[in-house]
Amino acid sequence: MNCKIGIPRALYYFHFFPLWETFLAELGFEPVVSPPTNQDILQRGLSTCVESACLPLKAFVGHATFLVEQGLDLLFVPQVISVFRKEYTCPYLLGLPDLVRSYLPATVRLFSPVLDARRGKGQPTFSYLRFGLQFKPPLQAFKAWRRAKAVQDELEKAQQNTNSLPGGLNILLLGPRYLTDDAYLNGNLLRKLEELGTGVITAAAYPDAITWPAARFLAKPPYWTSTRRAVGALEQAINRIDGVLSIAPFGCGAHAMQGVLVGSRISGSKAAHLQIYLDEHTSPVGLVTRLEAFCDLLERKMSG
Amino acid sequence: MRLASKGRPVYLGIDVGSVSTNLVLLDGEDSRSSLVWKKYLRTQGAPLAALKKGLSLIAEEGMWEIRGVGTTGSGRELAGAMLGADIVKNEITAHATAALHSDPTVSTIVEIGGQDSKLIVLRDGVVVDFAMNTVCAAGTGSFLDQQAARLGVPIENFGDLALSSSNPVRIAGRCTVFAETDMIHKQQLGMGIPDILAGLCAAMVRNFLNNLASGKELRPTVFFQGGVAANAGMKRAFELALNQPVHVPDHYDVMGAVGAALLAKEELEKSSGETRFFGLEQAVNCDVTNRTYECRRCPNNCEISEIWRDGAFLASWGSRCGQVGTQHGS
Repeated sequence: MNCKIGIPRALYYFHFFPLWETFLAELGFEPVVSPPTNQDILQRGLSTCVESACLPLKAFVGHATFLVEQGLDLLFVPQVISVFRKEYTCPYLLGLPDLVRSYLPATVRLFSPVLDARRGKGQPTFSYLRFGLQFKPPLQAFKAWRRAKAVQDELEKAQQNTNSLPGGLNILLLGPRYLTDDAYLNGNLLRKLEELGTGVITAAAYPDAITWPAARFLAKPPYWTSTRRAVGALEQAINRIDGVLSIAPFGCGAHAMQGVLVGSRISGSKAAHLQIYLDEHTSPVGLVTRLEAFCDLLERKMSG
Repeated sequence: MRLASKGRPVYLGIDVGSVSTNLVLLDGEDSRSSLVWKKYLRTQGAPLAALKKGLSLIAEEGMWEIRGVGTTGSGRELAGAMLGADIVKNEITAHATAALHSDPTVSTIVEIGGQDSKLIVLRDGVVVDFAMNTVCAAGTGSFLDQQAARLGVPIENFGDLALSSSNPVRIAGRCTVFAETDMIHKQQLGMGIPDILAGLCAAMVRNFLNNLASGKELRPTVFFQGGVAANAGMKRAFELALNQPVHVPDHYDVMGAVGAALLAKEELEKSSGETRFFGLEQAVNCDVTNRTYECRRCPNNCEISEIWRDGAFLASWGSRCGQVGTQHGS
């Protein structure tokens, strides 16, 4: 069996790509990942997807339709309900496979294992294994999953490097991975921050084992994993950074809560906070103005 | 400069905005850098033409020797490349610099321009926080312009008419599209134009404060600047909402340009170097062209905008990968 399977380079791909790509390859598929978001892909999503969806979700639909147009009739779109106990992903993502299916021809088949860590820490593992058993005998499926998990763990460990702050201006970048890691959607934010001479650290640098206890000071635990990770990472990093930059898709409900939590925590500290909302704008002028002004502010604050 | 200029030394500040292009000259010898000349021009979608017109007005007077140039505004890169500016700065820093120069005790700056609105919070002369309108131009000068035109009120009379209202109507301020619907409904109920305009001012201020000021402490002294500060109705609406006096500085309409000139002066004093300015005569007489095309090298299809001066390539913008533009070399 050497069957091609498409993986859209969007949303939870940025969290789980080592696991997904390795696992599917080990199961005998040939994973085909769509190229990094570009104008053509985003435009497909914008013209297809429901108007009220957020930018990254529209981009996902663009990636999926792009893959289908390349002749792929199998797509890997897991239904990510929860990645951590007692927490959810956002409501749009809960129903992702159903939403995407409605925009694709009926001949396209989606593989959508359900990942729901609320039902138990081991649930995602079982779900992956059950998926693998459709194609391989039990021992081989288990070995495939174990190899994939090892690759995933290795990458996550490599990202958990909090010593990478170079001095000068240090910024904690908070926002969903599918924005911080997608250079097209975020308007090349990371390169601009680098040009402005800042050191950047993201919430990915802190594992759940650190952010979960760190966020426990909140009166009520947040529903959303991304919010808890952001608040926890801020709590850990707050004394080592000069500013916090939050990026979010325009109209994101989960972020509305996070912005308030981050803002209130920052207001008592020496750091400053800037929120940036991303949407379909094709001109980077607005983004650049905000980033430059933010860096000016941090510099003047430091020197005076 | 090639000409043996014996003019009065000045620093030129330029703010190329969406609606207006402003030029100011600050006295280069006076330690207080007082403003000696200013011009407010409508951009009308052609920033280069507006800029050249402004420069030719300066050249015509023939009495200024330009020591340094600073640019700001959304067209700052374009203007900076065309003229050889000594500093190209964002509007927030420029506005804060100008306000602090006119009053060191300023703690809050409200700035409403053509497509931007900004709130800048300062403490002890340092910017500590700022906010800008999020993704659309709702609640900015362009909308006031548009509504004034729809009601047949010249924008210059807007403020005074709003002030004459005794009973402002309530208008939804969340979004300007909603606001327009609401205004039309009230107008069709026979409510007077002054009351509608005053209601619109109050709605815009509510919108501004809800969007930009939540969680921020707005301490005195409060400055209100930008083109919209000309509107006395808006000023009064801010005073009522903030419950404290709001000051509109003398040169409220060109504060960005003043800030750019001050920053240019600071920059040249720091480096104690010569200005990189192309020269007034040269800038007025040169042939500047703008070329825009869609790059086809990759699926991003970036819109590349290039600027050429007398047949020589100066700069380009819009490339996401950074590879286009550098091909021309220097």
